[in-house]
Amino acid sequence: MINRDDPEDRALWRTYRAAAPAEAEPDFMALAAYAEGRLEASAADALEAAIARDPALLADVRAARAVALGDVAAIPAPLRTIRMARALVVEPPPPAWRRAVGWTSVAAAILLVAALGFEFGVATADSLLLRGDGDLTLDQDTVL
Amino acid sequence: MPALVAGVPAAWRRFVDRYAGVIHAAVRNAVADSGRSIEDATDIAQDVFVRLCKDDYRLLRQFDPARASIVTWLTLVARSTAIDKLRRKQHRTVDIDDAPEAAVAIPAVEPEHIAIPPGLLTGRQALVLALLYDQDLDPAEAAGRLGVDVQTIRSTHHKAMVRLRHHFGTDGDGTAPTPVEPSRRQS
Repeated sequence: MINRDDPEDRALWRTYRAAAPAEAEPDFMALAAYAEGRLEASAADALEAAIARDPALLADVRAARAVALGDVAAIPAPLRTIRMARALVVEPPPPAWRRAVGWTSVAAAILLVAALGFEFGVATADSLLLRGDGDLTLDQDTVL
Repeated sequence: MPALVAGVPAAWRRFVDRYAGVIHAAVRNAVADSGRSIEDATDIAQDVFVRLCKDDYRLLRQFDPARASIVTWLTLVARSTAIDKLRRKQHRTVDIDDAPEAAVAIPAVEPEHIAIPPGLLTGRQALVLALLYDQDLDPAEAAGRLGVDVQTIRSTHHKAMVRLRHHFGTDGDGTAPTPVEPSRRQS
């Protein structure tokens, strides 16, 4: 029979707790293995000593155990959560040489369009026939 | 996992899509357990993802699928992150001019030294005593928390108390040691 009101037993426990060496903080992997009942006995014992000092860890283990057993219904994450999380890892910027090639290509394309436009303009001007009455007419064979 | 910790964006997106629900649920439950508003859950969930990928995925690299499932592991990481964040919010600094003097007074204390040999109590014994005396659970509740039967709790408690009484020399004359009180210097 356990009498939790026995002051002597409480005093002994509190004296021990105050003076016992602190256990190292458990890592998530050990806690997860413990929650799934897969932690080796010696490590489980050390982990339980740590949990004795931090009862919040036991709540965490129980929650993790419920998830492992499928006792917790999944809650879809909000789209905002997913969007923000995805944005944490993005494609790295292209290397400098590739950017230089890209800008050079753009510049060359602009020059090409400008040159072609100029050629067409010259060809158009050459195709214009000045008639005696001053009208400017297009040669019928000219394709603009 | 190799592609994930190598920083491949597509692998990260797949990871987020697959486990965002697990992380969100764990954070939401931790927030609810602490009695706080669940509107904090979205921001805290983002903190979890940041924690997973920061420092070149240092935390993710620690995951070992041979020891536990990733869902269990992520639940623990998420709960830990949530609880840490909620505790920091609770301990916001107060302007010292607004704090009463008693709140900022720190008495000087020197704890008495008591030698506790390693292994005096097993981890399970310490945990049972913590549940019974620190959390004031009755044996049935403690048994439920640990997934054992009540008789195991009673037996573990008994063995632990025998060890403590023997160590502190109270198993003969029935007198308990005085609980440790730190000595106080009057400043």
